[in-house]
Amino acid sequence: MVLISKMNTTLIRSARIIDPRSSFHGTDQDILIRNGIIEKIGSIEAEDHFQVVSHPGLAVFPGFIDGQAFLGEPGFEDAETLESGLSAAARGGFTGVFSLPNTSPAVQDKTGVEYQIRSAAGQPCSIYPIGILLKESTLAPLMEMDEAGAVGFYNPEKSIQDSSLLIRGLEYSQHTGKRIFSFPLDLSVSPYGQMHEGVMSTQLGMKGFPSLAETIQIQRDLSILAYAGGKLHIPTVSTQESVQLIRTAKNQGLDVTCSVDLNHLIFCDDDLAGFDTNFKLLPPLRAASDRAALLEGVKDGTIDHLVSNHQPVNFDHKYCEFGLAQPGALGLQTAVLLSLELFDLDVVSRAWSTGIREAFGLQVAHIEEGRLAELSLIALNRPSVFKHSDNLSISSNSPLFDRSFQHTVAGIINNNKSILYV
Amino acid sequence: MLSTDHLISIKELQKSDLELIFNTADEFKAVINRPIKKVPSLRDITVANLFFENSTRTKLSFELAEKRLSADIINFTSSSSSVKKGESLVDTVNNILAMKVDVVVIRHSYPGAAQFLANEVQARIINAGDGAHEHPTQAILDAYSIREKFGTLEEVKVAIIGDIVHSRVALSNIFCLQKLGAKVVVCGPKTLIPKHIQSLGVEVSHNVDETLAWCDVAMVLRIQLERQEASYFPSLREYRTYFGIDRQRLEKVGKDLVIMHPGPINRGVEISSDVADGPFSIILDQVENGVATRMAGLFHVSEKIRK
Repeated sequence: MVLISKMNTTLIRSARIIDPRSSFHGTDQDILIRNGIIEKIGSIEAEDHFQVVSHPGLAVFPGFIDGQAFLGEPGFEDAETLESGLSAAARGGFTGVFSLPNTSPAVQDKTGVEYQIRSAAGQPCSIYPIGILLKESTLAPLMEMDEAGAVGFYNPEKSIQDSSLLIRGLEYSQHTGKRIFSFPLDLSVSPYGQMHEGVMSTQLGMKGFPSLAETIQIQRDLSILAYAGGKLHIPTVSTQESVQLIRTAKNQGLDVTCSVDLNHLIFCDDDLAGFDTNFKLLPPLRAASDRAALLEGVKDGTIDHLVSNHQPVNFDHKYCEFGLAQPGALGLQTAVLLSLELFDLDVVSRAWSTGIREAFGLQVAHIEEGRLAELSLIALNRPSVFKHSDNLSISSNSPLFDRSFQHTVAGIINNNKSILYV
Repeated sequence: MLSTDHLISIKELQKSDLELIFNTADEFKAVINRPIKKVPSLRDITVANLFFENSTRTKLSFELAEKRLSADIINFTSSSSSVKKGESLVDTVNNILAMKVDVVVIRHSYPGAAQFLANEVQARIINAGDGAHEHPTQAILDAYSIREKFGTLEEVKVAIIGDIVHSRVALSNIFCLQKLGAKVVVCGPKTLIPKHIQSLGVEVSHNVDETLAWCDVAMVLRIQLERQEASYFPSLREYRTYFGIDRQRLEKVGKDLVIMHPGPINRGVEISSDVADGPFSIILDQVENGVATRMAGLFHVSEKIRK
């Protein structure tokens, strides 16, 4: 059952609060929400007009934000639209999504940012547009996009090869206080790469991207950051060396943050043995030892937050030879559920809620009385299956269909609205 | 009966599959040396030869094998550029299958193309080379030729020398030789040997003289001039000098060797003419065995259709 409603008064009954910064952390409480504000936390009597949410094993988190999803619109409506993408995001437990700017036209000015925000107005799941950093070899209007609401600046899946452009980007972006994303892959190392270079690529006869293609890009970027200042974000790191480089840089005081794609935490290059194009990702799935280091990086906080890296790809661009297939996999509806199987609840809360908000300067959502109700609801130990019929994306490029999950997304509450799925 | 439905990779075959094909090939080799070189084994079978990438000898070899088995044949040739123009592999194949084809022999430039077809179309697939992934029938004919020479592959020392990184032959040969008990060394300049090749259980050498001194069989691979999209070595002259196999090199080794080459040969580059045409060379035996072993492969794949 899906119940979407504009809320007046909602009572969440006996839920475990998972917000390490809240005085109610780890306790089971009733939560009363009125007009989009958490009015009271404690033991609360229900009244007739209350919408009551009650499930065994219900856990409530500060709203989860996905730091990287491609929502297709404008230009790629055959793969995704803002409406379908935000529906999938809410279904996956997200109260907010950073939308990637490589639409057509790209999100490259104030109008583009405003279009995205306007299109999502009134939705329970909020949109945080990322703007383009570079229009070819010139800076996009970063200050204008910042004013319109852009959350950061990025040219997705295109590494910045020209060092002077990254220097200028980091310097100029300091007028906005926002982060520059730098895609960690030096394509010149392996221009024909299809997957991670390793044992599996050797067995499959495919050209690979060595881990080096990522680490030399990150090494350069960190050197530039030390020189130029500003705030750098390395999205979707994939190698063990990258985690160590960023750990060291943080210890040295550099303002660098990074994320990891959930796919990189559950799959590895061995999964490409059958040439399944749904495992063709960018950065590529790396070795099992990389996966272990990435998991460790999330646990110790080196990796600031998780991303679904939702990349809807039209059927025809996946139903073909591996070498011709477009990279990417769906992620919005499965990322949170996967993370709950990998990490304890405190880490999940940090990796989806506080980590990303701190990295990008967003107001941290707290589960405290008087705060805005921006909540993700999970029914713990209630198994669920991601079926084709549950898929809200327009595309279907997921390697996770028919997988059983230990938990279920119960719903979200945000923007004075609630969507409940169980 | 083969353990697999298709003939896509050596990796997925059992040693018993290889032995089955060899034994059948023995019989077909006798057939193609008779005055009447033809048997009716596949007279109820239609084979489509789909070559999405240029090939001369593999295509001829398959075609001849099919004809010797009395199969009906259709041929389709398309360059990889037309695939880039939007011609879908599945569409092309489905069109051909609508004409009730039983077996598809496919050569394609992308690794995994044969597997993709096997997943998507209702026909038996024989991989005639998918990029630098596998070329199982070449490996089978090579192993068969070595077996013919030595009676077995157990403990036979085989060196694969040359451009390993671009080769569609090397991987299949490594898997095949290892399954049959041979020892394998790959040899060539560092830039032409995949970085992680040792994970397959082979040894790596960059010294051709040492490798020749070690091996019983030198399998020389072609320098794929058309695939040198980056500079893997400075010049053909330098390659010939340090990695090419010529008579002087062989004389220095001072022992009998078996010289193989999957063709086509760049004479005077990876192998000199006096070696290619010399007494140690079994290059033309390989060609003949190619027809016999492909007949055996076609026969056993088709056998499963009738089941």
